Amino acid sequence: MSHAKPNAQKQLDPVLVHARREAIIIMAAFVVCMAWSVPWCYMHGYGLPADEPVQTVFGVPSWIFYGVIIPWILANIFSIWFCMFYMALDPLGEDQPDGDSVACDAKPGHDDGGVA
Amino acid sequence: MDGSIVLFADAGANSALVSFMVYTFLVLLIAVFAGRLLSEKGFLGEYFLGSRGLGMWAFAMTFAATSASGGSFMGFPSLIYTYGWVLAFWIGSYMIFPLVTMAVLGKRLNQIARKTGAITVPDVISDRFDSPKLGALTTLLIVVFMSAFLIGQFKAGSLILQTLLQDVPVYQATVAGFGNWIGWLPLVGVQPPGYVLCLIVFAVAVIAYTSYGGFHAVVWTDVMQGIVMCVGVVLMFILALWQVGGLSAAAEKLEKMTPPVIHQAYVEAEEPVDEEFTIPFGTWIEQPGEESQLRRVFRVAQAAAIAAGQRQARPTQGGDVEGLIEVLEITTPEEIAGIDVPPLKVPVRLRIAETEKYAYGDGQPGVYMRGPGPSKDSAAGFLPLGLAISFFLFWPMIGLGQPGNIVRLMAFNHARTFARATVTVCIYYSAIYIPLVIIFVIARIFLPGMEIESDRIMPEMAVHLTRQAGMSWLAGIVVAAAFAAVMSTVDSFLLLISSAVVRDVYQRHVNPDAPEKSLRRLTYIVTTVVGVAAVIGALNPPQYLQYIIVSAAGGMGVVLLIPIALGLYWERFNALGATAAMLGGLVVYSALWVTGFVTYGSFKPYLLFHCDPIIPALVVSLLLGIGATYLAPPTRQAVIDKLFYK
Repeated sequence: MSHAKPNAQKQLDPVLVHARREAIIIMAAFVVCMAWSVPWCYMHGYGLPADEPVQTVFGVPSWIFYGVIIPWILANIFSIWFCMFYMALDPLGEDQPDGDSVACDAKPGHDDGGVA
Repeated sequence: MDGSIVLFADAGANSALVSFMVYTFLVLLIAVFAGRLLSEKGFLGEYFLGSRGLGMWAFAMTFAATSASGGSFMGFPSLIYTYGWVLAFWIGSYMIFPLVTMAVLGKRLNQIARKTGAITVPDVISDRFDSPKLGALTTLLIVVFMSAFLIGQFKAGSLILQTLLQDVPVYQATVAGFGNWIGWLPLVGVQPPGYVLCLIVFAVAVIAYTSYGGFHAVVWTDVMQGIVMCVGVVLMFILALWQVGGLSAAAEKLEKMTPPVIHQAYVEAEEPVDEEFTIPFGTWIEQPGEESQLRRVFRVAQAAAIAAGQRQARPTQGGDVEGLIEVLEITTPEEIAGIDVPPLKVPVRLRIAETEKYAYGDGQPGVYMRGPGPSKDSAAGFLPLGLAISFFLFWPMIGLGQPGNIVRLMAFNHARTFARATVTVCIYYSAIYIPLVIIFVIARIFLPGMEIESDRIMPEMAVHLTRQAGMSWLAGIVVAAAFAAVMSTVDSFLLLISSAVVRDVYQRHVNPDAPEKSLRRLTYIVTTVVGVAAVIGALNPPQYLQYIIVSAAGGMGVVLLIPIALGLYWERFNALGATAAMLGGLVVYSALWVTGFVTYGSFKPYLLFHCDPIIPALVVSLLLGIGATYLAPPTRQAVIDKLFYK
């Protein structure tokens, strides 16, 4: 069986490689969203002078417009690009009855009720 | 007036009943079709996971609808109404929520589930870590947390249905009769009959379609529920913007608005009344103002009555402390000018004994347009910076660890389906959450004084908007969105618990060779029994239930996120690491809730560094998971080869 070989000589599953890279990019994008939204909203929306009206853009408070709505739109554009043009569409494999899986081989009596 | 005219007098109220009936009929119809499909395919995989065959729309809608629970359609609008625009910031991380909660784990989780044939979350854990014991621990935690959740959601479902139907004459008559009928029953008889009736109607519908149709029924009803929710929000959005004259006009009014003031007051008639005079909850009362004030306008937040021969009203709802009655005073002059107070049959006056002002935002015009938003209790406002950071992290992290989401990620058919569905959910959430903020910020202008029952703002606003537009019948479609949201969450929780019992307990540990026929019978029985048990729990809900639900949501995320995420991507991560991550996170999370309870004397968490408990709990879970992994050998090589290598 393949487990006789050291891991270094084996090839990592491409779904794992792609999905791990994508997960890191998504978490980075999340950090960017947070780094934009939280400081912007705090600096422009908190502690505003009570005697001046809040500035608005299309009727939305400008701190919400630039701190939430604009990054929301950009995050959507990024999400669409990421899913449609960047994400690797690897085959995910055939579904196996779990009785056949290596993970379950060592457990006598572990059977399946018929996953197709 | 003719009885039939009374019956159909209020189209807005009756449309709620009609829409609920049509809606329930459609849901049951879907379940019948789904149930027929079950006989043609492998039972457990089909019943609990739809044979991993979800297409784009089904997958996108079931994911979106399950995540958007009753909270999104009742609790969230109530918060927007009460605190204003800052709620857009509170929900801000939903800008990237779908991408994080779907694409960080989705493809890899789906692949591992395929490689191992897993159909439940404990299946994945058990197979990935080659540890049936860890699978059993996961099962136990899921059943405990999900049961608390399920009871709470049933309760919420009943309350929403009650809220929607309470103005319908047929419903009122039925409740009165039902109350007489159940009055003698122990436990049940002490609950309000409306609550019990709605709970039973709601539960029978959900249990019937979930038990009979399984995952496919849940998914297909989710698709319908998702569409209903979106249509409801879009309709309200258009009507609200149109009727308020655009967002800029709304902003001008909001800029002048100040929070209400809460008083404890004596409510008195000028002379003793001849017969009992009731003052219903929500009654408006006006009286002359002092000096520059033209008049003062109040709203009764506690139902009361003046007994025959008496002058002073006493509360008939909540506690009676020396006859004091809670009232809300509107403080914005422009709002006061616009409120038309109908004269009472018996004129009454208020004598204010105590006044409670907002701890943050009192008398500040425009507080609903600014951060951190007004707050009744906290001098730091509704959303101080620490909490804002915490919430930004909270939503995606909670979403990533929810078993309802994880199990859906195991159910799609192709990577292409997954990519398109993620895009669909992004667009769907944008179309729901931003408009919800706008609709209910506008609701502040149309419906003043709703702070006394802000949970009702969604149906009230639906009825108001559609009536103003001369289309009362539309209200039914709009309010259907709210129970669609609860149903779509309840059904998936029900299935999660029954899958944990049948698949992870019975099939794995009790009778691995059980024939399909007996598994099928057991599944139907367990799903029904779990549902009925949750209804019994909801008939007499434990104290602090709402808080238990909130903490259970966080607890689920804390327990599952790190073991699943590291398990999928880090081959060295082993069963000891996963167990340490699971239990370590759980202990820290629970400890912060207990500390909060001891410190504050009420059921709320201790906010370490102003953060929600899930943040420190996840950090500890991650560190313990990594540390403990190196104290034990890696997972068996054959398993690693199968799951991590070509």
